[in-house]
Amino acid sequence: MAAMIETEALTKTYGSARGIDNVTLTVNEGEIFGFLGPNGAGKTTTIRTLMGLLRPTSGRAKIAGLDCWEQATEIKRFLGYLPSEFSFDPGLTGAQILTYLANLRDGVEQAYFQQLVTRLDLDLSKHFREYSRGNKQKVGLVQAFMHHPRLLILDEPTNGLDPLNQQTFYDLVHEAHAGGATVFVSSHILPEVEHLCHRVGIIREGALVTVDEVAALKDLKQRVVEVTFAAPASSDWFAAVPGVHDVTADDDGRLLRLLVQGDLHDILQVAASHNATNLVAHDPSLEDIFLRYYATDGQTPAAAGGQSR
Amino acid sequence: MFRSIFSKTLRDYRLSIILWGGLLGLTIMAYYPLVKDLVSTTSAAELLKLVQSQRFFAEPVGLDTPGGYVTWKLIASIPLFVGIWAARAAARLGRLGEERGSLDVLLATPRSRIRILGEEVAALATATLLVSLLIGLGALAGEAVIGGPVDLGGALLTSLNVTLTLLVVGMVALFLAQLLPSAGAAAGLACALLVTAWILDGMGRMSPELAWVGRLSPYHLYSISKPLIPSYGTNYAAFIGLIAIATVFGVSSVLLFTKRDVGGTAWPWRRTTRHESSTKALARATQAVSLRGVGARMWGAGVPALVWWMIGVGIFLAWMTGITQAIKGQLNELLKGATVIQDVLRGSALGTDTGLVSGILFAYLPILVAIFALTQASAWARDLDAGRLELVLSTPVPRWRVYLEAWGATLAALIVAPVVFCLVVIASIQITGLQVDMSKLIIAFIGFLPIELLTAGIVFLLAGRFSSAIVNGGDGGFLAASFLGEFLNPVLHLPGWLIGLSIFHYYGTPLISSPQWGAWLIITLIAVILVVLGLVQFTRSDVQQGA
Repeated sequence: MAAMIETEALTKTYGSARGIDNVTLTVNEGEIFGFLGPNGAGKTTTIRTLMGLLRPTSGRAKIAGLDCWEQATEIKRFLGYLPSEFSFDPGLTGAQILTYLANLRDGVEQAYFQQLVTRLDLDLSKHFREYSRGNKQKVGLVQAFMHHPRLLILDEPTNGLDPLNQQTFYDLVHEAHAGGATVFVSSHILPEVEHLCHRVGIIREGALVTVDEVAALKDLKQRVVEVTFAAPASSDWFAAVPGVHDVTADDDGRLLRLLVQGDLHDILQVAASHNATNLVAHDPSLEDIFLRYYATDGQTPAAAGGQSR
Repeated sequence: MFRSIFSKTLRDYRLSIILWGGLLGLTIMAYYPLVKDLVSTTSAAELLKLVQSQRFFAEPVGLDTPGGYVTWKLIASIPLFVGIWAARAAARLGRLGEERGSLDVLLATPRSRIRILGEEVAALATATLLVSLLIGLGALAGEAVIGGPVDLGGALLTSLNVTLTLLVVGMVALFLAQLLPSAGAAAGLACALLVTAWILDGMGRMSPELAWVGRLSPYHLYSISKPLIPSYGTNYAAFIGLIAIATVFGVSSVLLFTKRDVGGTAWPWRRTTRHESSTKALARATQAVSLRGVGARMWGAGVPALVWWMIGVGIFLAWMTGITQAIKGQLNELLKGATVIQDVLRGSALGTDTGLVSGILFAYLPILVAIFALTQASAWARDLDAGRLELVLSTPVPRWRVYLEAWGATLAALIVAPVVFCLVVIASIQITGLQVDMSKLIIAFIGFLPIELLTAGIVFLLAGRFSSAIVNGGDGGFLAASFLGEFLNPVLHLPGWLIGLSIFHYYGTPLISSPQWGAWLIITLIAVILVVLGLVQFTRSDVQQGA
């Protein structure tokens, strides 16, 4: 599959301040890629560098084989962009702003434009200054989608949107993807990324910590397994089982909590041999995985946990 | 300075205090030596005869004293100019925070609404007092420079008079901000009322029959105190009147602020907003020529300001041309001995109509057109500063084209306005019958273009690299320093290299002497270089996300 976005050792600094450091990343054509990180991690800096708004300090960034800085204009012909924050002349109406931006693209398909406005329930007659945060975001979404871009770069796209409009947004992304578009979504809302994306990149303090498929990241999971017994149980039963990192018992000793990496085959056997009455396994959410990346003080989870994959 | 709302707000005014107070104080101080020369060579009766036709601007009292002349010439008009700042600053108290959403955060702290607005008003009052004290200090310094008696009481009372008048303007603006949905609308209306009050006051001085008109204006309460003229003195009842007006509007504003919705208005009637459908709004937008491109958009956004400039300066020019015709005989007679004033007015040909128009009209026009150019160009700096180009730059319009279209829109305004000004002056000259060489007049207006280009070029070079406040403040400070230096150089005798840095130095006197085509061409080339450097900078540098 051809690469739509490629960065190689991409670095951006602001004087002595950190921006992003050595970010190497590939986003394939036709995939939905999630870019995760807390506030200030470097998500917006990466995106604005991809957009040709910031000049890389070193390294390179390419979109569809075109250099993001030198060939920014060519790139923007097939790209839709939603900034994390944007402003416009407060005296212009939504209709005027979108018409203006459409004109700068030499026009857009009116039927689709109208459809976007209707689906997002956007009132075009209001002035920009009168829009709520959610409505401003809708203006941003309409202008990002209205020209059927091949690539969508969306920086925290659901900011300020209510649940109904969030769902509309997810639908729009899926439709664009079904039409062949590549989507690069930055977010710190993990269920959203988990719901939308095929692959995820996690950025921390300007450095890319990991890039993998959502499903693969979940394989890193350390599940919590709760095993209930009819009589008080011993932690030692599970201590030597491969993949079990920790065992704790509750007060009466009938419930054991196991922190488990990998499959549960051996655990099930041991539990059965001691007449377990119930077993519940809690799958980690992406959020759990994400928090693990941020709780390891710069080490990869594998290094921190002594596990590797 | 971040310990309280009061100190934080006062900190926000620090630049305004220094600029307004400092520049006006320095101007007043520098004016005293000029006036000393004039009053020592001209009798009071002659001066009075000269200024009778200008009673509209101020009542001529004690003109044979430096304090009297400075009061008539400068101090009488100060609240009109500084009032624009006061109105704008006061209209933004509370309201700007509502527009930005920061007031919500402030109101989430355990501070009452009364206290929040009260502290902001107190900070504004302190700022106006500091501006006024610097103005008074300028008068004191001026008296000291010419070796005259230094009247500390008169200077302090002058400061108090200015402070109270600015407070009236400010409190009216604050009151209007409670009734109107935006700080800009309130400031605009307050400024319109300020000008109206000034006009009413002026009309009241034109003849005894119209005196009652003048008394309708709060500005009258300012005009009837002239503390720098010992023989005239101070009207304390007027002070009380100004305090009463400021208090009524200030207290009403605070009360309305406590009772209205945050972000809403205290207007007693329901605001009926015209609401059209999205389809209609879209249909109108589709047909709008001003949305067809970056340049068209920039031009469209600047048109309202351009129109107001053309109207305002056009009226000023027509008025000044009329006055020139009215006073030319007396002025020529009176200025025969006042060599310094002649130098300041560049009046080597004051005996002719052309010389008078050059000395009177063209003494102020260069700074006016330069300020106009700054206001037009600053839209670019503001857009960059506010992150309004983020979406525009995500379209396939190349950066160089965005920049050049923005420059083109600015350039068009810089050409249109002087053309209109020129036509107004030509028409006024035709009507008044002044004898002026029209070809030289047109050349004199062409000479403004390099000044405008350089002023705007500085903005386009620095915008994006620095905040719009720094860009506008820096360029505005350069203009003010250039103008003051050029205007007062005959008195100050600045070194050649220093006065050579003035943007106005090479304009010359094209109405009465040969135009400095070479200098104009060099300034134009410098401006072009600045614009090209700005283009390179804009296309090669990061675009800030804005605030």
